[in-house]
Order: sequence, then structure tokens, then C-alpha cells
Amino acid sequence: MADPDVARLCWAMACEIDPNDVVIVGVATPMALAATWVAKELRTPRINFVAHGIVNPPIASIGTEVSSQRNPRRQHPILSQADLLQMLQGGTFSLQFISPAQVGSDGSINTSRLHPQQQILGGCLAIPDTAANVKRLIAFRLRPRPGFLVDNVDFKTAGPRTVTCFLDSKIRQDINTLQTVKLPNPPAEVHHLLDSVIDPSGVLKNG
Amino acid sequence: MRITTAREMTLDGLLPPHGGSLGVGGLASARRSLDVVSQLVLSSHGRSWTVWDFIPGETLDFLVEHGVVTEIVSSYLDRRTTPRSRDAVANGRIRWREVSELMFTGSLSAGSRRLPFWPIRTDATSDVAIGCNLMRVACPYSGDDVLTVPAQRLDLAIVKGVAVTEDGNVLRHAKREFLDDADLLLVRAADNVIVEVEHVVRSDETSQLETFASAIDIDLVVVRDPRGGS
Repeated sequence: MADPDVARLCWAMACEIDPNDVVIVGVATPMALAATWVAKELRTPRINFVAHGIVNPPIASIGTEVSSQRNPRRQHPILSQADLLQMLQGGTFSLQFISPAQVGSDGSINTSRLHPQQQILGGCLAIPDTAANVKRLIAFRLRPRPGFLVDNVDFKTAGPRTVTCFLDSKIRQDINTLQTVKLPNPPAEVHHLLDSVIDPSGVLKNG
Repeated sequence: MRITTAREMTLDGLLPPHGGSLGVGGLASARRSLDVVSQLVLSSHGRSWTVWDFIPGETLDFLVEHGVVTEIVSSYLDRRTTPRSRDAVANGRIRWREVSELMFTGSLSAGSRRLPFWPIRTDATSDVAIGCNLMRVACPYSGDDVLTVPAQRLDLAIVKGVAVTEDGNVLRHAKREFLDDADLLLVRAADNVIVEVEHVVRSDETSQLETFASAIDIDLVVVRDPRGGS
């Protein structure tokens, strides 16, 4: 049985994907990849998405692990960086799930560093770029640390904007209107898909 | 352009000056030129550089550990693969210029074409963009406001290939790897280019491989296993 928090969040994220969406899955967001596969299998089979440079990778064809050169990427046609950035600035992508350390009350996002110690979190990767070019950003954290949702982020990796946020595996909040919704339990098929195909080794439960 | 072996390589005339810029190809732990980077450290003689590396891996930590880095330009510093670099940034020994993917590639795209800047569409309100002092220009055709990044030339780029032909063309596997074309951007933006490859192939023995960079682009090819072959 898949971790219930993972299954609930994954299903809730999958339900955010509209049939006409083109989803860009960033590096270091395996939950986003899993949720997109769940959406494609159980809700919106015609969506298009790009993960690790691959367009519509078949389910579980690449790992949910992040860095991984173990993934058999070479089996799939891959877009170049030039292609991806052209598509990004051309407005191709409509949705990205991101997993920041902080989300501000104005929709600002921090994936870079925390004050006052200037603790480095990781870095921006392409988030300032996607914030300016992707129509919807949805922030999530499976098990957020205290201070995930703050009045002012310590560092604006991306500045103020409209953001939907999954505060944890139970609550969805529109940051700008403060409207909150409790997440429903997912159908049994989601557990089965995660357990047997997408995440049999339970990588996602580590957030 | 010359071809040498890892054992015999010398980097005379190719090292960046003190305070110069070094582009390191690869992504995280993939496509890294370990022999050349080691030789670079051995040849540094007190020089240190600004290192451009989009998503660094252990190679950056190696350079930092040996004191040849004054500034890092990257989009990410991973806690597992670059702990020394993160520590050096945190305690102020090394400056980190955090840049987005469009900022990184835009600067090198302009530099590679010898243009003064490159227009990009990124979040101008981001502290990343503000920290890089990005400037706006007015489009001469529409008058629209356009955000730009300044051009960057590199003194030296080090990238990895699979093989080199006897004619000096560097080859890679025909099937792509994630963001592998970013390495070519480094090559074209650099005044000097060193490519590390595994072996030499005859020009008529290139099945499964395709040209990554031509002899025109490259100053030095370092062959790790001169007796190997495809």
C-alpha cells in the first residue's frame, strides 16, 4: 500500500492538470513526475508533458529519482536545451509543479537560501524563467518544515505572482485569496499505480 | 589544434589568467573531464578563476578544494555532490553568482556570437535577476522594454567527448543526453577549448557516434586511452 500522504498529494496534484495542459517537469521534483503520470493514466490521457527533456515518457520509463544517470534516458528521443528554452519562452508550457522551501503570502517563491545564516538550499535552476513564462505554478511540499508558508520569503527566487499551494498532503490553498480546500482521499487505482508501476521502491515518501 | 594523451598533456598557453573565466562542461556528475581538470589544478600555480558550470557536481568541489576558484556561476549547488563549494560560499571564501538557466545560456549565447547582450524573458522581480544587475533596453522596432543579460566570453572551456577522429573532430554518442548541447555553447563562447575523449577512431569508423565539435572549435584534445577503439 502506497504511503497514504504520497497517494493523496499525488492525486490532488494530478487533478490540477487540465486536458489541454502542457506540463514541464523540472529536475529534483519526482512527485511532479509521478503526479503527471497518474493524471495521464487515470484522468487526462491526452495531456503532453516534458520530463528530463523527454516528451511524454512512457509511465515509469524514467525513474522518479532525481539525478540519476541510472535512468535509461537514451532509449527516448530527447529535446535539446536550446529546444526547451525556445519552447519555454515561446509560451509552450502551461503548468509546472515546484517544491520550494518557502512560499510568501504574495506568491513569492524561495528555492535559493535562508537567512540569517544564508543557508544554501540548492538554487534557482530555471525557476525565475518558468515563473515568467509558464502560465500556472503550483507549489507543493509533502511534509513541509515550519516556515514553509511565510509573510515574506528570505530570498525571492521568483517574485510575487499567483500561486496555488499544497501546504502538505492534506490542504490546498490559493495563496492570493487564502481559500483553502481539504484534499480528498484518492481512488484505489492511485495506490495501485504508485505501488506497482511508478514508485515500487517508495522513493516518494521521502518527499 | 593538437591531439595528445592524458599522460603527455601539457596545458601551456591555454590556462586562463589569474581572475579569468573557466567553463566546465557536463551536468552534475555526468560528462566530466577528470584528467584535464586534474592537470589544470596541477598547472594552476597560484592562479584562481571564475568557474561557469550550469549544474555542478564533484568536479567543482575538486577545484574548490584545490583553491583555484574565486567565484562560481551556476544555477544550483547540490548538497550531496558539492558540499565543499557550499561551505566555501557560506563562509565567504568564494562568491556564488546564482543565475537561472536563461541567464546562463543567454550570456554565453551572446558571448559565442560576439554580441554585447542577449534578450531573455525571465522574472525581473526575482532576487536572482536583481543580484545579476540585469539591464533593460528598448526594442528599436517596437519600443517595448526588453530584459537582457550581458555577454560572457570564457578564457577556457573544458568539455568531454567520446572519441576523436584522426582529423581532430570530436564525437559523441548519436543518442542525446539531457542538456548535452549546453557543452557546445561553452565551446563556442571560449577563446581556448580542451576536450577530453576516451580514444581515437579512424574517420571511417564512426558508427553510433556523431560529430559534437569540429577541429575548428578545439585547441587541444586529450585522449585517455590512445590504444582503445570503438
